[in-house]
Amino acid sequence: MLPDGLWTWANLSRLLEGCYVAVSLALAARLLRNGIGRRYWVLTAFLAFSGLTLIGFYFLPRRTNLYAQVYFVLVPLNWCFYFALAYEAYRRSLEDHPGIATAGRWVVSGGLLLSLLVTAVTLLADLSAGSQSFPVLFAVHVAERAVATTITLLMAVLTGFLLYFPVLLRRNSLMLVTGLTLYFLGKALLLLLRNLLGPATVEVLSTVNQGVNLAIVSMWFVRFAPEITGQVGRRISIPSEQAEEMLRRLGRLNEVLTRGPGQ
Amino acid sequence: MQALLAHPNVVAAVVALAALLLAAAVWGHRRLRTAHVQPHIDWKAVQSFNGEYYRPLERILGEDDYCFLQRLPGYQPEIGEEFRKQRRKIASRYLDRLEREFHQLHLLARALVRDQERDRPELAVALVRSDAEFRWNLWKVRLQLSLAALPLPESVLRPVSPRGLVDAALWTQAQIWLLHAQAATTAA
Repeated sequence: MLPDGLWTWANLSRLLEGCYVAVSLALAARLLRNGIGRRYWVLTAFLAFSGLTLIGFYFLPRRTNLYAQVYFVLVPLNWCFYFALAYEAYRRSLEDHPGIATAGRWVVSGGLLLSLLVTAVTLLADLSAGSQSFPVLFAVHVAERAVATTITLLMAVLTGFLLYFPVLLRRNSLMLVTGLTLYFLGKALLLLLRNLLGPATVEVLSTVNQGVNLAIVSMWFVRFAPEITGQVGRRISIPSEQAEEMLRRLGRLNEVLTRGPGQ
Repeated sequence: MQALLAHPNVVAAVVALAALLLAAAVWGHRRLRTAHVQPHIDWKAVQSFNGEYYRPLERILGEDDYCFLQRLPGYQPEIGEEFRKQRRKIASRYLDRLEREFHQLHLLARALVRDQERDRPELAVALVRSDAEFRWNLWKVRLQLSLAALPLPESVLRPVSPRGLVDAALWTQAQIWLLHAQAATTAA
């Protein structure tokens, strides 16, 4: 048993953070070692970046200007990573399917616009919250919630498109799509709660967020595996007798078309 | 923790939303994972789809037979009601079958477009459009059938044509033939 006072939210958060750093850096190293990192380079870079950032923050003195400056520089960088991760998920999902490449691009572009619109509407809830003790930090959290919600919706649109056609995903791409959806969904909802209920909830919500992040990175760690090159999954194959019948019918159709109208 | 417990309604609403979205994400993941398995396609059904089979549907949904019945000697409103009821049942069965056949054809067409070596945005969009049009037209016909069961004035119950539904299925079947012919030519 641990002595009283050790099981605090802050300690739990620190423990989860430590585990997250260890797993994300180990995963990044493993992805690089077995060659997956070259295909999923944004994910690899993000894992390394987020792990090293947390280590860096550990050594920075809290509640100082330096801490705040580093934080405000890194936040937009993180957002760029988020969009890059979503782009990587889209690219990897459709890379084996040139037949629907342009359609996929149209759907994702339209989905991005739609997601931005829907997110803008949902931000009204955050902005309607009462006055905040730290307005700048609140603005950053609202912006981060907007980014996370937009990407969650974008991933939902992408998943819908993949299900509609129905696209055969590689195992790692499937893990990436699902993992990112859960990652951004968790972030968006926790930030929504934080923005609605104020900074007093930060400690608990941040710990939950660390737990979600750790679960997702652990899932990737267990499930990501070297990929088999070549085409993915089984393609639609038409049985030969059915194929012959289809060609025969097509021939008949062509005959009718060749004869032209009125003949 | 106290700050969270002070707003139980907000927390409960967000947790419920999270559970719902998590369930949707898990469902999506499972569906994507099983997309590896070739969808069950009844080739014989795809091949044997015949628009002629649905030709009576137009007559069933139309008013001609009802008008004819009304002109017959000894006609009574109850007979007309029973006649319409039976027609609605028959039409509903036709529509169920047509919907099943269309979805089978459309799934195959989508899978064939997906497997194309060349980018086919126009065909992908046309498929999406035909699917949307089919669903919309089917919904209209079904709505009309449901409304017909209610005691509404005849002016509201305008008959709808099922021709668009059958045309959409025939168009999809033609796309399957064309896509298959292209694939066979490429393979040769």
